Amino acid sequence: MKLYYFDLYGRGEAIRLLLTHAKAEWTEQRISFEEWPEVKTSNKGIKFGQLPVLEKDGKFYAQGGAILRYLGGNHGYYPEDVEERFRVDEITDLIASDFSPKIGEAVFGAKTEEEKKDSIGKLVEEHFPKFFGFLEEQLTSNSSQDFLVGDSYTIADFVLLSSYIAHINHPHRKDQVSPLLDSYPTLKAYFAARTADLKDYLDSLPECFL
Amino acid sequence: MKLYYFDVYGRGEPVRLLLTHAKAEWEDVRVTGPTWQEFKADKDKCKYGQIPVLERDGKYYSQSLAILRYVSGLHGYYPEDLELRFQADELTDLIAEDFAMTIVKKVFFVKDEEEKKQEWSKLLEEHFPKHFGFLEEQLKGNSSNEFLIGDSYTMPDFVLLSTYISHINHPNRKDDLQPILENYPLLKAYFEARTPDFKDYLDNLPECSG
Repeated sequence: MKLYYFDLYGRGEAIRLLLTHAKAEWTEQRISFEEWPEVKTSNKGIKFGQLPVLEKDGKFYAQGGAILRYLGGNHGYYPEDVEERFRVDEITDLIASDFSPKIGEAVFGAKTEEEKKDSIGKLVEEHFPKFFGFLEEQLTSNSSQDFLVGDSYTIADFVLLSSYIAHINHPHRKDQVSPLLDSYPTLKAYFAARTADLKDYLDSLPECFL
Repeated sequence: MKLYYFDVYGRGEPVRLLLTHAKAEWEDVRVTGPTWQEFKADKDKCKYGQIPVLERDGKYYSQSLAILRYVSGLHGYYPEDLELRFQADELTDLIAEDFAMTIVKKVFFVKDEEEKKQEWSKLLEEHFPKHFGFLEEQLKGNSSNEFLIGDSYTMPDFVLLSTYISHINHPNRKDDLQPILENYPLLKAYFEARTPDFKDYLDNLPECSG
């Protein structure tokens, strides 16, 4: 199994976290922005002109969310029960589609460090508290406070942890963002517990700007 | 079952189409102005302050694609096989996010008329042909040319038909888009084969801006 993605956390990190936790056999190719135009046209597996793409047994799988659900299904991180699966989908989409992109846009769109600090500052006022509130609610109303849905890892947890890496605990943003967590004790404890599970991986994490 | 959404096609139409095809018992609740404010304020019904929301057996379900996957699972439109299920997820994300949401963001959300026109022209030149091409490929490679996956309705068919309603056959846009569709004969034939299944629904379709 091979993951093709940029040298970013972005839409690839949740997949990396899942494969790491699953102790799956996998490799990755991190594609730089310089090589991307050439790779995009030469690699026929990149069927929609985008990354991430997963290569498995000679087949190519595109669309980050679809890959995550596929691997989730293969490794026991995606429920079969329709009601429980819905709960995983709902919180996963909230994080991946409503929470993370706005932060990504703020970081990507800023031209200077000053601008970036300002944009993040604005999100710290409203966006982060709003979503930390939703996540706190999700954890406290769940059967276990240690996971987002049910009592073991699902794809929702990998998506949230990738956001933790890319935004909440990112060296360039943690000073502004992580103090907020003090107001969300269950969420704060969740991150402490879950990142301990992934200690070796996180200790060797390459630093990416997003 | 009740679906709460605005009086637009947008992110609600795929669920409407699915429930119609499934001949499910459901109510299409279109919220506007004051009823929207009231619904939004009810944290039990509208937990993330957004719609669509599905109400079923006293429970409330948010996030449009999570809802779609849920009703797909309930009514037999979400494949059991992991490989086919992956295809359903991949195509759904491609059509709903990459294809449809890009149009919404680049054109519908833009206020300046001049900029709107320019963005629309760009989409006609590049975005529509690119995505029609992907869909043509999918139909060509599928066992049946009349469905996206396999030989019966699956989740992505409803998302694709929703784009037919919102764009390809929309009174304000069909003159621009039908000529482009001519270059994608399988896709054109797909719409011709599928829309008669929804004749009554389409004959009574409320006219919405998008």
